[in-house]
Amino acid sequence: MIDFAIKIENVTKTYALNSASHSASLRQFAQSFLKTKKPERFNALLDVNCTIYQGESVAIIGINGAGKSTLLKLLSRITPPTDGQIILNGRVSSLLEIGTGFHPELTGKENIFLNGSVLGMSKTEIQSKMESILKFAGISRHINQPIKHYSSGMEVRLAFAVAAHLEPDILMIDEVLAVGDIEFQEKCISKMKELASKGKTLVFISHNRALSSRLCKRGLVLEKGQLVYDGEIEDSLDFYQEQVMKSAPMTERILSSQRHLGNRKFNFSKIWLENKEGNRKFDVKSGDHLSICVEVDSLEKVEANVACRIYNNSKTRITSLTSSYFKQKIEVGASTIISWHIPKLALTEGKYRLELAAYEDFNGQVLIDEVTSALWISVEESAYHGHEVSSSPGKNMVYFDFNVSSKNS
Amino acid sequence: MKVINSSTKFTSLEDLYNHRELLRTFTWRDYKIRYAQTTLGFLWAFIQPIISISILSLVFGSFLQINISETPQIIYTACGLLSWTYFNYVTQSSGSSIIVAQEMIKKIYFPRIIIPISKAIIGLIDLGINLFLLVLLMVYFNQPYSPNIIFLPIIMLFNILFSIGIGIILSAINTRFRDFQYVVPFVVQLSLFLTPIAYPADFVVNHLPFWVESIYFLNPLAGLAEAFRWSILGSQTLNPLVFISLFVAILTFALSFKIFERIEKQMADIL
Repeated sequence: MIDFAIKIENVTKTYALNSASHSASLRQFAQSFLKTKKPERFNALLDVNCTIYQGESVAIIGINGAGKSTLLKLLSRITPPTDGQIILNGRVSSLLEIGTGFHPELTGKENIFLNGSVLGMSKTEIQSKMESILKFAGISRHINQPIKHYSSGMEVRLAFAVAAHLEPDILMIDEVLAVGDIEFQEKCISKMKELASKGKTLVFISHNRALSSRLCKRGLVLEKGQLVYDGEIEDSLDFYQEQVMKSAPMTERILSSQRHLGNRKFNFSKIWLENKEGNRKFDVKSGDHLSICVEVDSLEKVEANVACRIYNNSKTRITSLTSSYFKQKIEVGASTIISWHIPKLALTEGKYRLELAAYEDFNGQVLIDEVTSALWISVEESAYHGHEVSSSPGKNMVYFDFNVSSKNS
Repeated sequence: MKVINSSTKFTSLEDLYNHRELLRTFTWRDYKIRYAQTTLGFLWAFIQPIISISILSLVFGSFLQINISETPQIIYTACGLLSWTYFNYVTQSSGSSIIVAQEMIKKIYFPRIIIPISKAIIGLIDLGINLFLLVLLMVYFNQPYSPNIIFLPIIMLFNILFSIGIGIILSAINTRFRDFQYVVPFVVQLSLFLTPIAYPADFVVNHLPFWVESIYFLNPLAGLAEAFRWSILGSQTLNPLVFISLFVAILTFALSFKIFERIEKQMADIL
């Protein structure tokens, strides 16, 4: 019995770099012909092997340019592999974008037919699902108007409604869930979960960690066209996270392009992290010493109440490091560096956002400068209390310094 | 089960058959949007050929004084224009069709050849209208039709296959060398004069040696225009060199699929 849905065998996809054979002008073609110089080649995918079984939900993970979209293009037959082969078992639908083929002059209903048949649905199939599609999109009032009069939100809803009614054996989705409002996104996610529960195979590309781990059980990590990790989704995401940290060690972040608020007597200009010894650091672990350093440029000497606030991924403020807690004002002049020192970081694993603010007073009435999204830091789990133990059951939000004892009463 | 590797044929006949409904949908879409937002709408399909027939018969008949037996000049021109009008429409709309649809091609799989073919099908509307206008003119001028008319469907078929063939070739080559987008309109314009539309082919070839005449009929449009007139008006005997034209026409059609197939695989990469 065949139990796989997709089998990828030694698949390589090579593109010619800046070559004439792929460009559009006769002149360049003639030039390359005369030179007989082999164009530079670049492997978008290199010897990828993988079997995806029926009913699996798989996320393809990797930084930009790792080959995720190329792999999806090969799987959806848009372009053939240069080498190797792909075996598909079942009816395939791919959504590299939604609303493919939509024409602005046609009405909503006409576009449902157009998009539906581009995606591989038959006319009778579309007709029988029409009511359900319209209900899903929630735009039945405008259905006989040309979609050029639609708002972009309405267009997205219509496009998604059609896509959601596909009934393939294998569904491949590129980062298309990023569009649409939260409520609508949830609707789509539950639709995808429904497909998965019916035993359909799902291949999914997303940069959204939460979404990937909600939808998928398995993750494939690509790096420079090669499959470097294949395993449980959480492990794959961790592997990827590490990859990102290594590939782009950020030493500091310039804040000039950020949105600033306040009277701007001075500006927060740069932010970076340091360890106990005062060296720049990139990876943050629970229990570590952490210094948050901010460079400030001021024309005059100003005394300010400065604050660094820490928010988690779901926009909840974890804590605030404000100088007003000590009734202390910080003196700021030309190129001053303000540092917040945290001797033992009590945060658990996750992503956190740092917000900077400076006030002239202690009550937070007169704002000098504020940057709401100054830096995202990604905290890794580590032994806060010195011993590697699982905190099960459940997940901690913060750590406290504490001790536990007993005595006879 | 579907196996894909570098030598997999991109489009198989089976695939094409499975996507026949998509061909219908594309054709229907093109029809829908063709005259969208025009006030006169479908009337344009009539106005355009009326104007071109009038201008051509005026230029060749009245100004150049080209003598063409007893057939009214306007009927003579309308007959000759049948082949060229369709060819003109198809080369323009099919020729650019793949580039126009590039966003779709980069995002989803379907047999790409459906796109130029759907455009060529839309052109049949114009061919039909031209034929209809011709019938009106013949009724008005009381022009008898020739018994050769039974061959008309075959001649039209050759005309359609040749035009689709050129349309398919151009649509594929345009993706690789966009220069063709600028060359083609000139060539098509030139073909209007190289094709015996408003004048008889004899007018050009009578005074020339035989080999030049053969070359003249390598242009399938020339043979098709003569053949159209022969089947409808039957005024003269059919020049046997017309068969060169018909052969080139069918050869073009057969080759077009091969050429398209070769470029089709890379289309999503080069667009």
